[in-house]
Amino acid sequence: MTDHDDRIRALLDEAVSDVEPRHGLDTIQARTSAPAKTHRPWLWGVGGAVVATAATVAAVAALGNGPGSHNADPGFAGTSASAGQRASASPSSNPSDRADGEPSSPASAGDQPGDQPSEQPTELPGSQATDAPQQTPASGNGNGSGAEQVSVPVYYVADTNRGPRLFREFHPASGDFALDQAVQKAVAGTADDSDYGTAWPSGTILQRAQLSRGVLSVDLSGPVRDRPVGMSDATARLALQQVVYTAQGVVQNRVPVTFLVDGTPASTVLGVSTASPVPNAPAEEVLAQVWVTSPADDATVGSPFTVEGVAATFEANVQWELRQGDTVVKRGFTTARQCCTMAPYRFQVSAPPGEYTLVVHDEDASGEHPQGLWQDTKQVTIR
Amino acid sequence: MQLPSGWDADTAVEELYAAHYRRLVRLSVLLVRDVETAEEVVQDAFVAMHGRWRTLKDPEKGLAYLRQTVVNRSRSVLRHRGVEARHVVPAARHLHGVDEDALVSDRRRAVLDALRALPERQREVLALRYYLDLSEADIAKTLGISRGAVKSHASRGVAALRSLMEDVS
Repeated sequence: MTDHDDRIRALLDEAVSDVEPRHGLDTIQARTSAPAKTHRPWLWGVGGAVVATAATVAAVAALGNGPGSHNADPGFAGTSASAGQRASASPSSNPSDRADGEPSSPASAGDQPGDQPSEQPTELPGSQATDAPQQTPASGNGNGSGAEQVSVPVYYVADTNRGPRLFREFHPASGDFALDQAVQKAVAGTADDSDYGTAWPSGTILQRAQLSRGVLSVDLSGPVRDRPVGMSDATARLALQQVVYTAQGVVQNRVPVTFLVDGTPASTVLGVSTASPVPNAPAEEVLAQVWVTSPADDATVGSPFTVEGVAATFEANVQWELRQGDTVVKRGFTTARQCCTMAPYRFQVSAPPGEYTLVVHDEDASGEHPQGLWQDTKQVTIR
Repeated sequence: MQLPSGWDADTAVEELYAAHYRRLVRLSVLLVRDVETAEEVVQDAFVAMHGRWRTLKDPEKGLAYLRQTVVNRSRSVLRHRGVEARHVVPAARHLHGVDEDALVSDRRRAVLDALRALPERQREVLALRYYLDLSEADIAKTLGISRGAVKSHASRGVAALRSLMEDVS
């Protein structure tokens, strides 16, 4: 047998011995250095939700000038602006074969024929509807090539007055691997907003995420079967929902997620039973109810600039403040398109050049939280 | 062989690129055949590794992650592009008296064709075992399958490859 082994070894060696790859380091570095990120490791062990939110505002304000101009992500401005209209106006333009970025598009298409966009509003109003158009190519450079860039939703965890909840960012991904890349980012917690992180323990590795024959599966490795000491049941469930919402958002299909660990079906993940596929939890239970989609954290913008996001608030009221330290430079309010369900909002802000903290929040009828129960903050530099 | 630790993500990319880029591209060529595709796959893997260096930290883990990502993405590319080879070009052309170079390049093509004709798991196991010289345990880890499965894919793969390669030697 050793003879054969050596023979095969020699044949395989020889088969590729003439392959001299072109220099690729520059390409890699160009892609890894793009948006400088200040990662603030988000610890799932941290419990003090209320305190953390207040501290976040201060920390972001104090950090001041983040890593320069991060008006990076073309997916943000371009696609989210028309999220609402596009989903309803031209459902047929939603490219069906690229939503999953997976080999199994026939199967997934079969599950949900071309009527997806019209289903979204009933299934999960604002949130999925605004996930959808992000599937269009971010840069509009046509179709075909495997390196095509798309913009994918990734769900992260951050503290709120109601404890840790999910927030969404859009990230560029390459078409073929969009699902893998999105889920990978979710579990690794590589968010643009330094307030966002992951609920997954460090060392969690995504092996593979795929939608195949109608089964949406996520294969993980690392310390993920049992619940880490100190992690609450709620946080563990939220971790799973990070993956469920992200994967479903990318494939545009609310199919429950089958969890695998090291390639085999897992009966528990983080101590949560995964014996049967995990469906998305109700939006009002897991999503933060106010998100700012654009500008991104640490963005540099002109004046006036447009703020866009999604919110589910009382009477659809969305309030905002532009702060410098403790000083409120500007404040205002707007209404989201619909009340009480995740619906898009947008407004414009103008202010002199400088560094600001933008705080967008709901209105707390009880008066207990002047900044609302829900808020999202972004550091912006007005040039 | 123990590499220094304490690298940041950028250093990890540079160091692992210098030490393993070519080998990883070649590994991917064994899986997807096309060099340009292989380059893309490996570059993607480096970018992905950079993104998660925070959790990998260790060069050995970084390399294991790269290997795994290259195999996964090679598979994904093949499936996505639907370029799975369904037939094998007859191996050697048995040209007599041709020079050594031509023989070698025929043999290369024959091996790559034969690999492409194998079921993906067998192809992956052969590439990891005979090209990267990974242990059974490491192959099992890389592919997320059991060691028993590695064994059976390997023996079936070897048998299939041998029969496909009978003409060439």
